[in-house]
Amino acid sequence: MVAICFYFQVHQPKRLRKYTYFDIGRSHYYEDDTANREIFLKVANKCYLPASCLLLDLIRRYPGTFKIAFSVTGVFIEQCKLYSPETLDVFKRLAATGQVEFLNETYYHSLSFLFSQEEFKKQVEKHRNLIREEFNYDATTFRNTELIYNNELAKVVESLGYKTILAEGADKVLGWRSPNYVYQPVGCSKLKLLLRNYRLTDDIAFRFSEKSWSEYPVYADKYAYWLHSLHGQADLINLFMDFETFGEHQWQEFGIFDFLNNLPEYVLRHPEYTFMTPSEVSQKLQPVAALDVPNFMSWADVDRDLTAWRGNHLQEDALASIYNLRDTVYDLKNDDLLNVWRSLLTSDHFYYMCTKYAADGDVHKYFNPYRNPYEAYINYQNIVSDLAAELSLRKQELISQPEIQKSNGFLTDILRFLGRKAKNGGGT
Amino acid sequence: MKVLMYGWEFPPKISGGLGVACYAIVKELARKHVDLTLILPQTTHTDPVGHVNFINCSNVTARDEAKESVGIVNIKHPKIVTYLHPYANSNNFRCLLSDETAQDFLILLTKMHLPAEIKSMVGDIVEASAAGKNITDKYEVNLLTEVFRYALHAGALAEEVEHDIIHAHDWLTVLAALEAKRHRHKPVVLHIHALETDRGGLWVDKRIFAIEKYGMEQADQIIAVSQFTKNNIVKYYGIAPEKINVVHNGIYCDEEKIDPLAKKDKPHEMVLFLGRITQQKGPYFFIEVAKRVLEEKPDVQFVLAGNGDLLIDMIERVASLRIGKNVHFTGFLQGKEVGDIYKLADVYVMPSVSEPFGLSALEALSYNVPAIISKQSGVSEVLRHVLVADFWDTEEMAAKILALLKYQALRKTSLAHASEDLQMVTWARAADKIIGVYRKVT
Repeated sequence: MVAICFYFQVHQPKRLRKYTYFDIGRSHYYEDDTANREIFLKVANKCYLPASCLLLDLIRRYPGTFKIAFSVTGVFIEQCKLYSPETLDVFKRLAATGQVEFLNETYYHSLSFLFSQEEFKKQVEKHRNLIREEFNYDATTFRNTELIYNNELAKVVESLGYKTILAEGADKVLGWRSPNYVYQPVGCSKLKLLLRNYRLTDDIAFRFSEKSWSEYPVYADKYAYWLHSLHGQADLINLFMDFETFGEHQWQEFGIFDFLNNLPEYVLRHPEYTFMTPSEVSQKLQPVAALDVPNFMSWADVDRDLTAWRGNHLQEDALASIYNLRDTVYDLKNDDLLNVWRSLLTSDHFYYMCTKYAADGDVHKYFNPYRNPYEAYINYQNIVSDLAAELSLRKQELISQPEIQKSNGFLTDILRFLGRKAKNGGGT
Repeated sequence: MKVLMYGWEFPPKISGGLGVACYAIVKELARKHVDLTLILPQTTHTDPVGHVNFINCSNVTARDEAKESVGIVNIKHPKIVTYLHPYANSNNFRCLLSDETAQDFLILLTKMHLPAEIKSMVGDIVEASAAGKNITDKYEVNLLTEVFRYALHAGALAEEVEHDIIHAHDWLTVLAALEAKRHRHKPVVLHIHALETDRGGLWVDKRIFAIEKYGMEQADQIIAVSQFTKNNIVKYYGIAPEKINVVHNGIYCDEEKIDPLAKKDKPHEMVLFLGRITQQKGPYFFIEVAKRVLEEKPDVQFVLAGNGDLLIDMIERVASLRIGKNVHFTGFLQGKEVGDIYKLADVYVMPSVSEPFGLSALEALSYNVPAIISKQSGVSEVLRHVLVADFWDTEEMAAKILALLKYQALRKTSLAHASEDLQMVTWARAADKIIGVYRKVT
């Protein structure tokens, strides 16, 4: 048997509003609600709604056979509730079919694992609760933001009780090995590692509408033939991609929905082929080898490393400024402030500050609401400056309050002492 | 390939980016073995460079004072003396001229080969001037007289100089080039560094506009210093985009590099404006920005380096805003002074209303001074790693200045990448593209 394992990343960052130096200390209003609403509704109409309805239809057409997995970020669900409840409703109906797996990740789609394990665990916990609440699903598979992964992460994720973890099938890590088998992370005993087949994924996610590509156009039959030709050299084929592939990155006009609509039929024509969710794969297949990934890798850009978010001084400086506020935020124990701070941890904010203009420049530009990385940095740092000032103000209040109580206590002590003295002194 | 070039200002006598550009183009073309004869009007009698020969201004006939230059190969300098000065304004120009009569002007005008409507349009101002109506017209009579005089004499030189191509710069010399074409029928390449629509703002001089339009229509190929300028040529002058070639200016990046984070030897941070103090360069907006920044950070210093017809107005504006303590005027800077002022600056601002290119932004970056440039500029096309703003958005510009002063990582990263951009913007590359345009017409 060869399992086709589909997983779709569902995330929509919240854009920050234009926040200049002059706003610092004068406005604590950071998000661009108008743009967020507009973008969300646009993508919902082009992608979220038609694509999820199509998947729902496919699941009904292939009962018990067609299976998929989603990782839906907390940031996405929050916006769903605000702008497009019908989108969330379709996801709930997908969850109810029992043929859809939901994964866990950091609630805020953050880089927290790189900066604070404590914060990382809190966000994972928050996401686990959210998925349970919204979809009545207890996740057993984990994927970290942008498939950022190394041995260390695998160990932590195993300790959190997950059975499966996803990562990029990067050439530099795999070498001669194939991504089409289950691996075990070095240092783990139970956790299973699934690796993305980026070539077959990118044929859909990146090249589908590219007329200069020699294989253009790709129809479901041709793609299924590529999958079938791996028979005998694969236990499974992991196709991990952005959900926005369907309708937003690849347009309906280029036939992406027809492609998806026809794919299960052609894939299932081969009796040895089936669809599985990551947790199902994990139950049925055994690891073929241990995979050692000492350095961080991700699914971003051609570099497959962290340089899309940590590639220059702007990004490092911005990341340092925001993570430096962690302890202050924790101390204040204020849910609103915690939420504001965490919203600023979303990895996209740092992606906008990337100065790599090589082959991936265009991809970065496509996603970037700012004119250039410098404007992204200025806007972000202005906001962080404002938040930092506000936090330290609140902290001072917090410190001075117990002091008043303390001094009050001291005063009452003195009064009591004096009173006692007066009482006693009256006698002498 | 033999080129007959009509220029105007040339080092050491320069008053802006045009002289710098012209010098660099000539130098790089010469390096690439283009046989070049440069014909210049002269307004000065000293020549520190040593390769330009001057003759007395009492004699206005053209002379072939051809002479091999010292530093540059293949450049000849036949001299023509006029009072022509690209940035002459009504005040300083009247001082230079003795009484040019309307008669002289009309005689020159009849000799010119110009369409009838331009002739009548130009001729009209003589009557206005004769009636003593206003100073502006008198200045224009004088300037146009010089343009025509230069055109007739310099154009006639085409008979004496071997050439395959005629290369002219802007409207002041295009008539000379067209005159030269009448003599020897060689193709004309017109290099546009600035347009009347850039300089004039709301007060475009329709006569200069008419000459520019006529010149561009007649030219065989046009070189624009930016896509911004090309767009304006198409939009305002109705010229076919097919014959307009974009050739960005360059920069010589061998200046002494300064550590962007090194503490400069001065008590306060300094924000610099360097350019002519004229409507086009937006000094008014710079002062508004200064006012806004000072409300947040009262110890920042602002310097306006340059001269121009708005200088007095700007000084008065600064005084009326009561920010004279923080805003300083240096007057026109030359040579080493320019480098010195860049070295003192922490941020360079170019709030031009309409800037065909904007060499000074490249200069600032070459001195490791981060720049904020107007979106309405050609140079923003070649610099991806600078901050930009609309010239009128003083709030935005002020906010960006404050951000540059506050965030060190921003200075560091933008300068590091901007210096990569600068490596790509060279005069040698510009010269290659110019030669490409020459090949189109020969």
